Amino acid sequence: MAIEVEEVKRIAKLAHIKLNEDEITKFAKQTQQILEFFDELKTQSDSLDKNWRPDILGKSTLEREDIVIPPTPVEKTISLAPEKSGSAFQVPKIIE
Amino acid sequence: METSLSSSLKAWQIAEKCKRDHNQIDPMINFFIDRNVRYKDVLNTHLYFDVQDIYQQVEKLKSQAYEHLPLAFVPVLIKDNICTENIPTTCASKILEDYRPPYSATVIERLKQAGAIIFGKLNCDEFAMGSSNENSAYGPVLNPWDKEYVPGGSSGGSAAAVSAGLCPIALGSDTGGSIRQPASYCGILGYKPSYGLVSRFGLIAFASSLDQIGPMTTDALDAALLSDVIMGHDPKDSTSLKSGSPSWFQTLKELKESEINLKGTTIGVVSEFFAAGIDSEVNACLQENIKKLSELGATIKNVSLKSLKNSISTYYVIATAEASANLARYDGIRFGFRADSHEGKKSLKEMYANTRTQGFGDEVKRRIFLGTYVLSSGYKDAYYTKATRMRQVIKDDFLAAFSAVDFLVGPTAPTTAFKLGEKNKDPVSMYLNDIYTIAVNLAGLPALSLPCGINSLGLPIGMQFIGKPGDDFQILKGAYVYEQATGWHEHHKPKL
Repeated sequence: MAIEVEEVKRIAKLAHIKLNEDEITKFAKQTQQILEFFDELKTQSDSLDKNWRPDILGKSTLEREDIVIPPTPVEKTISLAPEKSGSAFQVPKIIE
Repeated sequence: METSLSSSLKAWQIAEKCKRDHNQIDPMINFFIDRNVRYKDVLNTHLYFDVQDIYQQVEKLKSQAYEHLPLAFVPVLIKDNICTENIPTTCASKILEDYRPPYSATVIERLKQAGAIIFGKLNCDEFAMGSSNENSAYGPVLNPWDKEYVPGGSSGGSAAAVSAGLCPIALGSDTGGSIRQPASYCGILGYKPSYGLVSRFGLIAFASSLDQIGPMTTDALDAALLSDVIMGHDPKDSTSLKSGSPSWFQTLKELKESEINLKGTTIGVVSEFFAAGIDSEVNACLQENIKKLSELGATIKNVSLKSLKNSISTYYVIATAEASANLARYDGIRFGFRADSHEGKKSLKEMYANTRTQGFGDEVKRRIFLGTYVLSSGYKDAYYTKATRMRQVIKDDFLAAFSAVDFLVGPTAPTTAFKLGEKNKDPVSMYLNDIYTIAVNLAGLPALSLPCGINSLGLPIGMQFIGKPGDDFQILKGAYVYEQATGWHEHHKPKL
């Protein structure tokens, strides 16, 4: 199955990654090679129930006791932000 | 036995010496500092190294009661995808260039409580994605055995550092072979524990259902010692098993001469591991070593894992899908690199895309892209859902094989280390290199690679033991018995 240039652009947009023309061509070619490889999965059959789901039939997640512990201080978290204003993360304007 | 200062000292010997005579502490620490300074740039192993920080840790430990600490004054190097509070943790990525985590990983806390000295942070493939360490934003690590060759990946810095004697023990992480394959390429022991035995809290996530932190050491005893320290239930990791810390080091140390053999152990030889694609020298070496295991008392049995042929595609669908979700957090807002200032004319979405485009390297982008593709509407059932089903088939296949054997043996990788630049233009060929290691992660099994031979180019060959889920001690004991019988690991070191 060939992957079209438009499809590469659509997926890149979903992934929030910009690709230039050369990269689009390269990704289309490499993705196609990898997908051809993945296609072997389509022909594999298994004897699992058709409604089988790993998250339901697998081990249940352990729950921890509901104990309050001190969180990371806000200042420490905010100090890591590339741009901040007081106790808030600063982002480009969202609403005009 | 009085061993003078040497890069061959084991972690337990260093701790014993320092605890017995406090005059040994400074010479020991300085010996390893000098060795790190001498080789770190030659091999490009380190991403962080601060001598003052090391001395501060040493002085702090000296003022405490350290007599009972198992790793007192032992230098430990850490793969740079494991968080260390206030110390740079880059994942070998530009996107985390200046990131200093506000907390330490549970494994780091446990190492410190055990008296270990965190000597620095090690280079790896960006976000642990790669099999050659060529995907680091800070340049590739070189193989200490021959600097024209890759050290393997993604824990290439950890493998090269231990192999070159810069520290006796290091931590790596293994999502599809990232501890075992570089251990094999650099001639050391790399052990990936059963999923859930080591807390992942503070391990920067690549593929959460596959990631596992593990020891990289020169022998099984040190791997046991390090496991005793880092293992045990952690409420901060919801996939952490409710088990206590083991005492494998003591158990191995106390084995009687008559118990150091493989009598009563059945070892399965996976026929699919020796099919097309395996290098002839690796094959011959493994056959020779399987004979040795038999001479040590093991019963050798052939087993077949039919689903193994689908493990690479299954793995790369699941791993990239999880990676695309895990790496969505790198958006330039809360931490890490940001491309555009808020004052510019760029929109929020454009800032996201510019940050990620400039911050991530090629392989990371490729995997995020693939993961987004296999999870996107119209493709999810054909790829992701199918792969999760195949994963269960692979697990069941292993469990069936384990009904007749105690553990499995095979090569760790189809070849020895390859040359820098040999495979990095062809992603599929690089992915195929993981054929013997990735099924283990899909099934959550314990496995280790130990050095067992050298090829005609003088490069090390690794042998892999794969254990039953939770039966990690069995493979560590197997490695210990092999080491005691052959002494291979002591007699073959890289000439730097």
